[in-house]
Amino acid sequence: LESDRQQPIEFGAESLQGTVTANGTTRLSGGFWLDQGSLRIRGEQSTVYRENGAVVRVVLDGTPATVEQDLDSGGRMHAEALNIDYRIGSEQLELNRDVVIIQPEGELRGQRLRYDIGSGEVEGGGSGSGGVRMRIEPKPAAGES
Amino acid sequence: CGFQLRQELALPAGLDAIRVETGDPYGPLQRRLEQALQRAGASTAAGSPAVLRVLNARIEQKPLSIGIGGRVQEYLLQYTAEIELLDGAGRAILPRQSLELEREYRFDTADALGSPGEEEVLREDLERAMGEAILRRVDAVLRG
Amino acid sequence: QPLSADDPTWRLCGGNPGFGWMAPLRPLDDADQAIQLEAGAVSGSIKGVSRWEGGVTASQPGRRIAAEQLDYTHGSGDYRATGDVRYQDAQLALQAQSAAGNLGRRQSELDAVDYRLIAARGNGSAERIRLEGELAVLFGLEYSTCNPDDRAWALHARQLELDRAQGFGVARDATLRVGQVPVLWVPWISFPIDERRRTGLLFPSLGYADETGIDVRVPWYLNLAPNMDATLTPRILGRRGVMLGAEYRYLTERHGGIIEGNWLPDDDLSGRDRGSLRLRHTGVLSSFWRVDADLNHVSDDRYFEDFGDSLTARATSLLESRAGLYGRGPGWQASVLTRDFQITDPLVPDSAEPYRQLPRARFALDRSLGSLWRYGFDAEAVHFDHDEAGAPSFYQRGAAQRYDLQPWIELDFERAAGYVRPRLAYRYTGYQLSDDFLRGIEECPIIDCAFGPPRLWPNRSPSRALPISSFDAALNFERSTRLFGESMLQTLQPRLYYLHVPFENQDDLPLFDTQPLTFGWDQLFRSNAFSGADRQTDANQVTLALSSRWFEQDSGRERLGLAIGQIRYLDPPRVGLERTLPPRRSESAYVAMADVAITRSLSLGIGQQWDPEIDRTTVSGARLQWRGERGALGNLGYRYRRAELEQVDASFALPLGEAWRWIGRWNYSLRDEGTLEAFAGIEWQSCCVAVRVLGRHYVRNRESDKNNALYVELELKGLASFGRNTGQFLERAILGYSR
Repeated sequence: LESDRQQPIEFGAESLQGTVTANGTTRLSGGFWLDQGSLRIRGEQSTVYRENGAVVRVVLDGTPATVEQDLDSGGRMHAEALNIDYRIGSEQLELNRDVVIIQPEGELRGQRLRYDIGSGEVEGGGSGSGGVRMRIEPKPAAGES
Repeated sequence: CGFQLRQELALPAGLDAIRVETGDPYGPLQRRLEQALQRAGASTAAGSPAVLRVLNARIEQKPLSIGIGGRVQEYLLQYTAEIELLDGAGRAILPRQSLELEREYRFDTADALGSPGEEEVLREDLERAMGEAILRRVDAVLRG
Repeated sequence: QPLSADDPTWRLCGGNPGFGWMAPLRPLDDADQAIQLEAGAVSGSIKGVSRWEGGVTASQPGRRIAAEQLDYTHGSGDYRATGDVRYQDAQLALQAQSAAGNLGRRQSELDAVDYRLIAARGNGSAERIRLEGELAVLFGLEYSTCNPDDRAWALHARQLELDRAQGFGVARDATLRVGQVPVLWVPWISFPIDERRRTGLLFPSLGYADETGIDVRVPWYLNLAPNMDATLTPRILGRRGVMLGAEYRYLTERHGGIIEGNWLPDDDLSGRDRGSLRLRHTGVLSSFWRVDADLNHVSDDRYFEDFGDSLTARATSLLESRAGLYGRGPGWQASVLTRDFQITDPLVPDSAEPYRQLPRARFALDRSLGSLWRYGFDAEAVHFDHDEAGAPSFYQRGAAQRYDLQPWIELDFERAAGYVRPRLAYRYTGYQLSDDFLRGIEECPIIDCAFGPPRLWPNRSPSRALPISSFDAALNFERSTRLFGESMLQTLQPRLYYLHVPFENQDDLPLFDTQPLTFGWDQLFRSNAFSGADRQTDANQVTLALSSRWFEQDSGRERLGLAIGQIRYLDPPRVGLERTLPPRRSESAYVAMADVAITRSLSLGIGQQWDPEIDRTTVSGARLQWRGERGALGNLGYRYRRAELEQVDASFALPLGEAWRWIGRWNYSLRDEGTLEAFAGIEWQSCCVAVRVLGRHYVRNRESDKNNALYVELELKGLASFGRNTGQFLERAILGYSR
């Protein structure tokens, strides 16, 4: 949601390396979590990037790591993969290996996908990447002929 | 010379209740077959598991010989049917086989009067003969 | 029209052509109805339009579309695909350059298409195809049932609608090309794409015969409703003019019928109008009663000679029309029907036309009494009428009613070892003659009586009443034996049939529908020698008969049957049709029969009658039939009836390899020293074409004029047959032949 970025951000994990400074990176491991408004990120370990005190990017791994958020266009988005790179400012998600993106239009699966939560822009697959699949539920509005 | 009077037929276990299916439940063929099976000791109730089935029984009239005047001199009446006898478990006691009986009759244009009548008499003879032919086959395979 | 892909007609095609990439589809009733998109890569927005590339497949239950690249609009479900587009559903498979449509609504339009029908036998190419549920519309197309790489024929059309729900195709602005030669252009045609539809015969048929010259038919098939169709067939006859044929067929759940008519105004050869009409209807009224009508009328007695198609039609001398109600129930049968006859043989005078029966009512009861006795009665009431044009003989004119009642009782004692069946019946037959029957000489108009004393009928209600008693008995012997090297069960049955009917003078009974029955095996055991009720034989006779049969032990199939029988007249029968006494006989002709199934494919049937009183064979018939595989067939027959006919008949249908088949018949009358019928034909067929050429020489009319005819038939398998339909003709001409 657009409004998520005005919400306070909280995150944590069992252990912490590096300093929590206004600028710079912090590595966390052992059950990483991050919440901001309707945004919920979960993973095993992650690297959080901060600029002027604001968290601008999170790179996390998990089996799988997940990102969920309500969408301005209605409904909720759930994305998971073994590795996710989330640029919170631009709502850009980069997901690698065993990627699943579930949102109202359907379910997207693949090995390498980039996804813009706001616009729904998606880009992925490519040679040697094992392809990409999508399931689209039949719309009652469309009316089966 | 080895001939002896035919013995009463002991119907094998699976065939003590046989339903007859001829496609014409009140026709002479159905009655003749049911009558013979009852006499051989079988019940012919409609729901019986075993079935004696007469399929696509058809009587067809064809010209047998055509004279020099291009007109029929003899008609052929041909009765074709297929029969099969299945026991209660659906096994074919009498494998599906076809039967064909024929009768010829003259057609003389001078006395065309009686020709339709003769055809009807022959149809009755054929119905009787088909009943006997089917029973002979059933009897032969059961005694075999 | 064998349409389904696995019909034997296509056995020369080497399987139904498809595409290499075809694969099983998701089941239609799959619980998961979602659209599944799969590709190498995706881009664009899954809220707007996403682009899928690198071997895209979009699959739904029962359908699949594959392409190099596909754009999908998530909101509406529209799609656009390009690059080696492949579409497949249960009935159709396509390859196209590009496609667009809506996956949700199962609509698509594809361009530059190669298509294959899957369930049926049809394939070809089209500039564009529009798929919408069960309807496929092709534009700028080519259609054929031949294999793609071997185009013996093809139909090129501006537009073709394949309605897979109804099962037929409608093409517009269609040109038929045989090889590369355009053979025919048709503005509008419809043809079947599955076997539900009848013939889609849309194309003209071509024939030639000496009498009519060229014979071209151009049928139009109108599919009026799922259960109604009609065919209009204008027919151009070289020497006669233009005849219009029409056939209308209808079918409901319990009734069905055909109305068929032909009309040739002002036939050039005979200078009068010619035509025929036929109504055929059958219907089930209840579990006991049904209605059946077969009404026929032709314009003149040479109609069949000139226009009859089938062998049977041409040879008909007596055309019967019959309509009635038929009933059958437990132990009873009944019928009420009207019958009329028309003579279709110029040598038969109108007076020989059988009496009309308006109506004839019959009722027969046959009940059992305990396990031994059976009783019942046969009753018939008929109103006879004859149109004034020609009474059977000017001695016997006018209408009359006849009542025939025959109650009977029978002891039916039957065991495996044999049976005894005494039977007693009492037959009463009475008449009510109309006033047209001449009572006395004074009533006789001069012209009728000028030639001599007419037949007078003083008794207005003559009648006859006789007891008929018979005794039928047989013993069944059997033994196991061997025949043709196999173990067989042989039966032997001596049978005796005694018949007693006292003599009664029946000269005062008119003759309405009675003639002597053809003497043969069944006549040995009948209680009357005449058909109809106007004459009842007097009898004091014994029939002795002996029959023996050999059955295969395992299958019960009969391999050999022999029978011989004769009637011994203790008192010579005296009832005849004419008033004169029939010649005194003490014994009937011997009747002997033999039927041998020599092998599985070779069978021989012989029937012989030999009259000891004149020491001559009176009837003789023999037929040898051979059946091979793939419809191979051979018949050799001989028929002899003393002073009536003697002919030989040889016919064969021999396949030569997979594609060729020879058919032929030669029917020669020894008595008239002339060929009655001779034809020879060759049939060549490939995967989707069959060509038949048949030359026929036959007796055309009463004056024994011979006629030569040539039938040429080009069958475009699955589309139509083009030329005289020889199949129907052959089925009558060669005994046992079926295509």
